[in-house]
Amino acid sequence: MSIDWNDVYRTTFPDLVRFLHRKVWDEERARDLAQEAFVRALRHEPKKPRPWLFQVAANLARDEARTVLRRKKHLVLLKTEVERREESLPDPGSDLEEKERWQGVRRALDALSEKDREALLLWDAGQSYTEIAKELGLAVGAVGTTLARARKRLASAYEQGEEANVARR
Amino acid sequence: MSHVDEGALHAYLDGALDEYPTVEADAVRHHLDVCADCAARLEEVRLLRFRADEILGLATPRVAAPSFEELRAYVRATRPPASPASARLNRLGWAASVLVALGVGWMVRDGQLDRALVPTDGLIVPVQPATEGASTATPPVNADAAGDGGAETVDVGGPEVVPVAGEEREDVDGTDVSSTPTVGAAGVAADGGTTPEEPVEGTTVAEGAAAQDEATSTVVVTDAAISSPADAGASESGELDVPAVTAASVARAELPLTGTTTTVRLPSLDDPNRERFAGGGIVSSRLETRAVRPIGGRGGRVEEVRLDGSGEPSLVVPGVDVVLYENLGEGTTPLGVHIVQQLDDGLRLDIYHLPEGVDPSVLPPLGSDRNEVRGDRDGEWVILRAYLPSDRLVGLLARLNPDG
Repeated sequence: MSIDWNDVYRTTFPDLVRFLHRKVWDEERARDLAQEAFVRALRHEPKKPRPWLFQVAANLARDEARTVLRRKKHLVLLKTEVERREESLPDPGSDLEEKERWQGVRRALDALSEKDREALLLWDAGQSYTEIAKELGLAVGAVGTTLARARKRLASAYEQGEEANVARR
Repeated sequence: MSHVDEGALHAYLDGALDEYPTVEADAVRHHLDVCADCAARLEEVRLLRFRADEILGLATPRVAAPSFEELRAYVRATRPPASPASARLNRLGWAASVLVALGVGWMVRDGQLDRALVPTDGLIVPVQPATEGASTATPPVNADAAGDGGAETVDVGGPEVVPVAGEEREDVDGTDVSSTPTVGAAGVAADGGTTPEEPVEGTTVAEGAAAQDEATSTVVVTDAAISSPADAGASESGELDVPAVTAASVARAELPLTGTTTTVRLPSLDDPNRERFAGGGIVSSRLETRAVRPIGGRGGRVEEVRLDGSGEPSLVVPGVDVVLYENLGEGTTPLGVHIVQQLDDGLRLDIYHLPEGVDPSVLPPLGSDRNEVRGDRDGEWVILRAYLPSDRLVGLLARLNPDG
């Protein structure tokens, strides 16, 4: 049975961006990586597009993180003190509140174990328990337990972060 | 039935009970109908689930996707050309199949062939052609290497690879492709690829010019070329003549073509008639997911290859520093082993051993800055990735189990 890639793209692309955004924390980059995943899928034509796309996306995000880390190290060596100071000033055009919200969510997600975080992000991106189980090497029945733990930890970590923010102000 | 566990409560609210065994799913639903305690717990889980969704929703990106038609058009425009190399090899009756796939950016690292012409200080610096004896590796000016029209077929790592000056190469048993069904049949460098290859930048001109090995035919920009553009073959009109790339020239160029995957079928360990790999070594790599040799996790140099007569190969290239050794995959299903070694020239070599049933697609994308060689034996894979020409990688693959 041939795959309707237009339909796959329409239904999966937003979920993929959502998934990637919680990994790279950059809207534009998340979109670029999602596009890259689809480009590869259209070349590779996997039989099961959706799980394939999420696996490739996860790999791309992981590579991205390593690249960013290398780039940051490189930039630290090159930047002058002036440039560093200028960069630390907030961009007057940016949505500070939005960035702060993202930071809070990011901190909360960072409090989860890698597997729990991955399960939660995959679920949030619309993957089924079966797909999540396959991606993470779990039994289907274990996915619910993993999500239970992840949600509990996320909520707790986020609340703690918010309390700490309030205390600082 | 005992009370419903928390995982099942979440599955119930996630609508995932249908993915459970039917008997189990029905039991959960029935129990929730009759047990007040579990019903109360279900409401707590419902609130927790709602809260978690709310938190994640605080970081929802704005999604603006290109149209699918645009995406499709881009994929078509950049699709790697099908290589006739496999058909040619079939006609030659190779026992090993060597599949060559071109990735984007195969000549210059960032995929821009026309960057062979480098503007510097107002001068156009031509790419110096290779020295005599090796065909030029200079790319055409406006070639779209990954495009459909006019793209050259590249034969990488075939038996006609010319030895690189400065390296010693053993006689290659498999050079006569039609009669010797050896694996790979690429030349095996005596040093196993530790002779450094200058990465092809082609975009910068350093003071004093980029160094190059004459016989490697890598892209070079020299002071001589800058000072005497006529030597670069400028036509009378002042335009530069850039020799076209041919398949043979690329094969001989020893350029570290990037984004290239070469697949080699390895002889079965049980095959008594298996041919020795070119250079005398038996290429084999059998993954032992349980009897993984402890080599210190990180660091350490493997000097000896342990051959105990059982045909067990080495997981690493002997004599090369091991930087990282880790298991792949989590949970109950190991996906294999990942090893990082540092070649003497500082280049990083990634080795992946995947057991039967694990597809190489589980690995991170190759990217456009490295090449890859995959050894396939009956569904088990050993995969090498590095910024080296494919024939070098094949040579390193052979060293995973040299003749004892």
